[in-house]
Amino acid sequence: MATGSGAAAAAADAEEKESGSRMITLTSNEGKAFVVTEASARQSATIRSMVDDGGCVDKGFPLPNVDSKTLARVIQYCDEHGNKEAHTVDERAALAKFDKDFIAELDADKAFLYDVTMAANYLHIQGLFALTTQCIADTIKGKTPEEIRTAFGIEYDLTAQDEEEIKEEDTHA
Amino acid sequence: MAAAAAAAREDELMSLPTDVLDIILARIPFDLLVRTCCLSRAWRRRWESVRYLDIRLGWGCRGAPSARDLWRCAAPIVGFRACVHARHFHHLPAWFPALASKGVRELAIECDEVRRGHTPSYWVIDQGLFSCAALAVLHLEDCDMPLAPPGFRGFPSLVSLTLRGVTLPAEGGGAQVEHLVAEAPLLAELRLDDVDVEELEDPTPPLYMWAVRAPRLRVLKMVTRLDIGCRIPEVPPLLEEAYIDIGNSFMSFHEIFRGIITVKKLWFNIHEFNEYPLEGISCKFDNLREAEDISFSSRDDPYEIEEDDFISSGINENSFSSLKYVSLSGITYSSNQLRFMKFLLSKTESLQSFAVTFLYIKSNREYVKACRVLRAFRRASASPQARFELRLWDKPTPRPPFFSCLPP
Repeated sequence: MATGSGAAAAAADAEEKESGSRMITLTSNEGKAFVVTEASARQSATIRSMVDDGGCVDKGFPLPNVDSKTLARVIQYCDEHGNKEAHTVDERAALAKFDKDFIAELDADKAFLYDVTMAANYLHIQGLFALTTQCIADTIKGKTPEEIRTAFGIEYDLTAQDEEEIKEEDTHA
Repeated sequence: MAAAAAAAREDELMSLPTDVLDIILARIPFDLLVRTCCLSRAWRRRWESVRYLDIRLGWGCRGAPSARDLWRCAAPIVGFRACVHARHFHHLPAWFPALASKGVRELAIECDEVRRGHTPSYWVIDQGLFSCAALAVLHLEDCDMPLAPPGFRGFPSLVSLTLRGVTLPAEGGGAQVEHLVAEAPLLAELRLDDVDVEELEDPTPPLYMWAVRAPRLRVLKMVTRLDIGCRIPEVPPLLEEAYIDIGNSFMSFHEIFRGIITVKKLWFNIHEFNEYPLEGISCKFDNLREAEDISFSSRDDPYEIEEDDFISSGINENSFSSLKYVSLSGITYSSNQLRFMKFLLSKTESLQSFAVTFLYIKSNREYVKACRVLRAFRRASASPQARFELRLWDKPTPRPPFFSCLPP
């Protein structure tokens, strides 16, 4: 990942399109530019379709919904998955290890995990979105209702009547 | 109350966009998803609006979902895959109408094998199954298939049908599978794995014949010890992969192979046969041009034939001409098997790999002799660059993976 602006030189563009080594500029909502390889950017279905539809590659892509901190982390994922091969067993194992470490780090900072999830959703980065949503689902899975409330800041506001209803539904089940 | 609801919406999960939260919630096992109703007032009915649920119940699940909970789910339910314990089998008649009304697309029911062989003998799946009209994938395992009610129109969207360890009714059972296949114009995968027909053990059982006519079939698996009356009268033109494991002289493999000569990848196992399999294949596959993988395996007892049989089988020069990968197992030092291997090596220029697993467990004289002969064949072969592998029986080439009711 390189930070800068306008690094994708227009002259070399046609040639590089063939080899897939074009560089693409992504701009966060704070105006910070991130220059990434096309292979990395293509992890995002949103950007992929814009690139394939032609145009706008030189101008770069402004991402008004993504802040710099989140974009940097998203690009870290895209670089790993876009720029590296996953043909051999070893290569796939290395990617799986990357994913595991990547999500473990995010899991420690829930607010940031939500930001990355939202960015992955907005940019349609399937692998990353699956990774983060599964991580949140796993957090719900392993917990009692009380622990879930604590983990996600859910306030217990059920009335006695609600509790009665739930009990009734359970016995009917 | 409105204010309370608004305050409750502030929790971290509820503040995510609805579609994102739906996707997260759809990843939670169904019983835990239903339990989210007791988190707070805002969560009371939240789970009921999660669409595209793929409900999975493994053997490890203690409870089974109530039909009432299924009725409360948002439509459509994408998948319902259940390993059904004996104590939960009574749920099926209640599940099917709920699943049908939610437009379930993928349905897999695997029953507890423990009950098999007891009386009442097998488990007959409830007829309500046939009301799931939107099915694209149907997988039934270790149960009895019922007859459809009159007027059943088939599953028109069906793409994949797997019957594994399923017993069909003696009268009309085969015809029903024929009907299911015929009424599914998109059917691409058909697996009849250890399918049985009721009362086949009768001293003089009537054998009802039925046919598989699936013009878009790509994958065919047929595993059967007895002739269950199934035939393939017309060649599926798109067939890519076939897995054939047949035994007993009831069924003529000539007929089976006539039905699948377009196949590109073939896995073939045969046992207890009166005819010698390789002879039949070499005749029938004269038309084969695109085969990529042929694997013969004789698990039980390889059948010995006289040398003359093979010569007289009339092998066409072009048989197997585009084979790339060959794996043979259950091979012995018999002149006919060696002759067949020599034939493959000398005629198949496209060959990239040639693996032979001998029936011998450790190096014995026959094995050493066979290896020597094969290596000589190889030097004279049409494609000496091919990967060449000789194995012993205790280290065989891997079998194709089992197609599970609960895929990963």
